[in-house]
Amino acid sequence: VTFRVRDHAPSGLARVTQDRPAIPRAPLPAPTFEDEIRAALSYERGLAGKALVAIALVAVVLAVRFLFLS
Amino acid sequence: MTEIFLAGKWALVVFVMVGAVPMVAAAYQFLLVAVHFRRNHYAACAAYFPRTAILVPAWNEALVIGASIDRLMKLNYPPAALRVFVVDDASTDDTPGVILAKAAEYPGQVFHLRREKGGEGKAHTLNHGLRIILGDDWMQALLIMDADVIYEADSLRMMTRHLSDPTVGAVTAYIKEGSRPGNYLTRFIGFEYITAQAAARRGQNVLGAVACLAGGAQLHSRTNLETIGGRIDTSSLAEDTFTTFKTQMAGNRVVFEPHATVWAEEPGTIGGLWKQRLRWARGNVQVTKQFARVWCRPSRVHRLGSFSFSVFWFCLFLLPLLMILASASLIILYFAALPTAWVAFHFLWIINALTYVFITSFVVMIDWQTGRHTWLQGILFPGAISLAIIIGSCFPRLLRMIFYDVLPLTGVMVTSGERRCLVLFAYAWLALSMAVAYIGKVIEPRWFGRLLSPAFIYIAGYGPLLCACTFASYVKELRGAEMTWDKTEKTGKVAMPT
Repeated sequence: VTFRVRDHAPSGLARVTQDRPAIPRAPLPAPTFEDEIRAALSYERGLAGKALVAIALVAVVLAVRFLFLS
Repeated sequence: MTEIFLAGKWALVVFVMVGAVPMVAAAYQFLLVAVHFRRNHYAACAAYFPRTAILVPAWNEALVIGASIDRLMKLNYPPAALRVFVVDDASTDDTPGVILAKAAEYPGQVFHLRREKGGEGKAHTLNHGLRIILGDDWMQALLIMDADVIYEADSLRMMTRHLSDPTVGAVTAYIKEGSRPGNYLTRFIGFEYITAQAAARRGQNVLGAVACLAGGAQLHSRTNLETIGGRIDTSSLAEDTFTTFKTQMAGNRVVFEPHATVWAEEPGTIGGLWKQRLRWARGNVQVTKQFARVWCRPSRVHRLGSFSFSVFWFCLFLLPLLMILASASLIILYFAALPTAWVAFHFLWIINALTYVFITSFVVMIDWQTGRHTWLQGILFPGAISLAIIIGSCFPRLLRMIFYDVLPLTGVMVTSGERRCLVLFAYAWLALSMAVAYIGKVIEPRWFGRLLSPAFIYIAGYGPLLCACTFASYVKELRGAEMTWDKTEKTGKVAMPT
């Protein structure tokens, strides 16, 4: 696969186009079992971060209560 | 005399604070979600495709069963390892015709099993199929589902990977509300399912004790089915919870797979929801009695008896009683020791407020796909009045500004008598909210109900509606009311979002 930078792009920015005729793209390979497990674990790790965000919200409520509106 | 008065006063304060325990327990359960990335079953998983029989109970499902079978045939699962058995529970519509046509379309993969005597309930229907499937050596795993649920293409595969570990007896999936078009009630249910399934069951995975295999998505290994006697319990209205408990008590692990998604149609009316939840709640009363020797008794075989799991179970089971107890205690304290009542009330609602902020914000983030459609119902889950009390308790200065600065500007003067009434109303609200939500259910069938009943639910809260239902289940069980299997009305309008 080769790429070329098209000159005189209307926006003034270099645009990258694929220098070959459009053909139907082959389907992406199905994720492997390991990929799926990795994705699942990554999502679960993200939930730990989200829990921290929720705890931070509670801290904000407490701060507002004691600092301004007690 | 003074000592008795003091003891009574502190006892009442304790009763008030007990009202906050369910929210604290729920927050603790949801905190466990944060460690699910460490304590899960993925390390013991492997790509595994056992020969799976799918058991579908069907009574008058002609409108949906054909499409359901077609979808099952398109699952990302080896076709040679998949068979569908539809148990036709003496249907009176064209269900048998549709199943037979599908059996001809997918020879050797779809089977029609007919029960001539129907209407005895789902457990009897499942047992009819189980007898036949277990009578043959082909099946290695069995998936029990409902006729109208939609499995995402990879869901079954994601569930079976856990069965590669022989210690796992059963796996359940994440049931999501998929009614199209939905309404305010299905959005409440959508939010509830994130809390009750995506969040709570992850927490239960961490604890190692799962409360319930969802009726529409329970995958069992053959060994597990044989260990628990090869049949589903028919003595209760919560056959799925019975099966879940029996599986774990037999030493087999139950796993919740949060990434296997199943879409289900849920009731769009309060009446329909009430029937469904009353059946579930009565089933839970029966489970609580039947497994009375399990609670708070740690065992080497299972984790159902752990203190944490027992607290989670009883906090939900006793929630309506705890709400009534807290309200009643506050009202007595109001007349007996006003300053103490005020302090206890504030502590109760500040705890409720903090747990509410944590739970609601976390739940929306756990499943953002559902959360972004249901965030309003999430915020109003406890009801608009409870939300106002939460804000008033957390920010008393705001309340004082409204009463002493804002309202007088609009010409409204609140007298001290009216303020006392408002305070008394706020004290009683935990119990009253259930009654107001129940009124929403009662008026729904009337001509004005379609308009007013949603307003009642938004004001009183969806949570209190479920509590009212649990309370009604106590009453039904105490009266020994007849156990009838009220099938949840389905229209077949369920879809996966595109």
